[in-house]
Amino acid sequence: MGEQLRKTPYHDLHVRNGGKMVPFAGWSMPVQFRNGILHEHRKVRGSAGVFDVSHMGRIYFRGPGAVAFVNYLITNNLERIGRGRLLYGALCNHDGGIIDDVTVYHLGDEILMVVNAANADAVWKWASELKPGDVEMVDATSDLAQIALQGPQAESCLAAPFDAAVKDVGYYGYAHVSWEGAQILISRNGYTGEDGFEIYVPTQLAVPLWETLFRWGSAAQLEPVGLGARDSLRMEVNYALYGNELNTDVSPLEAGLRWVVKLKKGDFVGREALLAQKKAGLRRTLVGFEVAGKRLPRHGHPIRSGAEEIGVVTSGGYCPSLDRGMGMGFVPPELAEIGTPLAIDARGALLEAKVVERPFYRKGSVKR
Amino acid sequence: MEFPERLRYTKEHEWVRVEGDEVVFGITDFAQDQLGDIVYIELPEPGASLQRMDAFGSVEAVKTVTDLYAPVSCEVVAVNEALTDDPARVNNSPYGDGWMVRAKLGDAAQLDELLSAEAYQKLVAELGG
Repeated sequence: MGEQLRKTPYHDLHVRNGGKMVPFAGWSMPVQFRNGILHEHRKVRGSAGVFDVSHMGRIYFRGPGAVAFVNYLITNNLERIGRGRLLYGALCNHDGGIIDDVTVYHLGDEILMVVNAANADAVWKWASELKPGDVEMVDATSDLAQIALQGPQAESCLAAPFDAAVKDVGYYGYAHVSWEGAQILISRNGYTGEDGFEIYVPTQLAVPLWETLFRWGSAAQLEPVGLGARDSLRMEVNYALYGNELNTDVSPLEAGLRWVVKLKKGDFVGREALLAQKKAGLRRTLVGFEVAGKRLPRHGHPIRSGAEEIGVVTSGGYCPSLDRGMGMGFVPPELAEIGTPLAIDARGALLEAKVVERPFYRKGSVKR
Repeated sequence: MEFPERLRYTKEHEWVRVEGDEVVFGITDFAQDQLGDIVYIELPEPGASLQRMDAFGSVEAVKTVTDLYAPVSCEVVAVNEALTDDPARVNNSPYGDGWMVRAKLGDAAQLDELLSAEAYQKLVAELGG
């Protein structure tokens, strides 16, 4: 209360579009627009929607040591990709706990790291402490706006202005395009399980680009989408959310991020701890579950096996594409088998649940 | 946002319509707007006896879940079965198709403790609605 919320360049536009603004990680962000979360969710699965994700932190790493330093900070292997590509990874502390999950753009002689809004300060501080003298960090959060265009028709929305430049961009690749005299970065990635793009535009062109994008996408009848549908979309495809599945007490091995932990790539922060954890065996592992009935599992509900409380729901709720309540949570490895019966304690009511395959939703248009 | 004059209201964001010795109640326009898309509504069985402020059911919305509290002491006569298949009726028509419970009124004096449309609207304004 009383804290000054930060506003993205789109704030006033969201208000005019009927955005229901809520505080989120220190920012005033739209949780939904007029037609509601379910409508926005289905819009993205069915055609395409546009998200303002300018609240995320954007940090440049520059200088001769930038690539090597960022590779030392993250669990994934930046040397595996070159200029023109990006990757997802975890940024760990020395104990292997997750400080943040990040997207890293290899820009050739510099790196752009995109971090969660809630962790932007923590990442900045952590990286500043470890940074060698030949690396410079620049906070570009205010200099760039960030838009996510997601859905099976996303590509068609960018075809008219940028055509091949965007069409030829593969999954986790990016291109620079010129628009109104400025350079815009467009990458093919996202947080919904659909094909789509993230667009980085200089702040002074942020609003004109948004408005023009809606014109380019008029055939897809683009609509703005808020944080509510962003959450339900990512949960259906089991993408982890920092603060839910991920935190400093959880390792990427436990949280289902093994695929972005490259223990053989050489030294990186947290490697020793993660190696030890792998050797000793995991205490717990992230599973997905579905519940019977209509009551919904929610973040924080205890997970039971028999009479024993064995874990906590990290994310839970209604999955619109599957029309049922589903969730994720950490359980002991011996209870992670598909089909294992569990119960969710929804404020006293025990919901019958069972472990299911992840991701929950598999019909997305994402082209890996 | 609507606050029909003919209805009475509670601080828990429910509305009550008096029909002879029966009451019909549901949640207000403000309540459904705050909840957002509703996906499931749990209601009591007909015959259930409720004391004022008893939790008689719950509403699961996409973002959150909330309990429902009896606005007055009453005995449930019927519930809106249509909400089972189409809970969005509460979002679309909170005072009409989205009604929840019809009940026989217990103590008519409790009606005097309910808020007028004007008083409820003032309460909502204070909440930023």
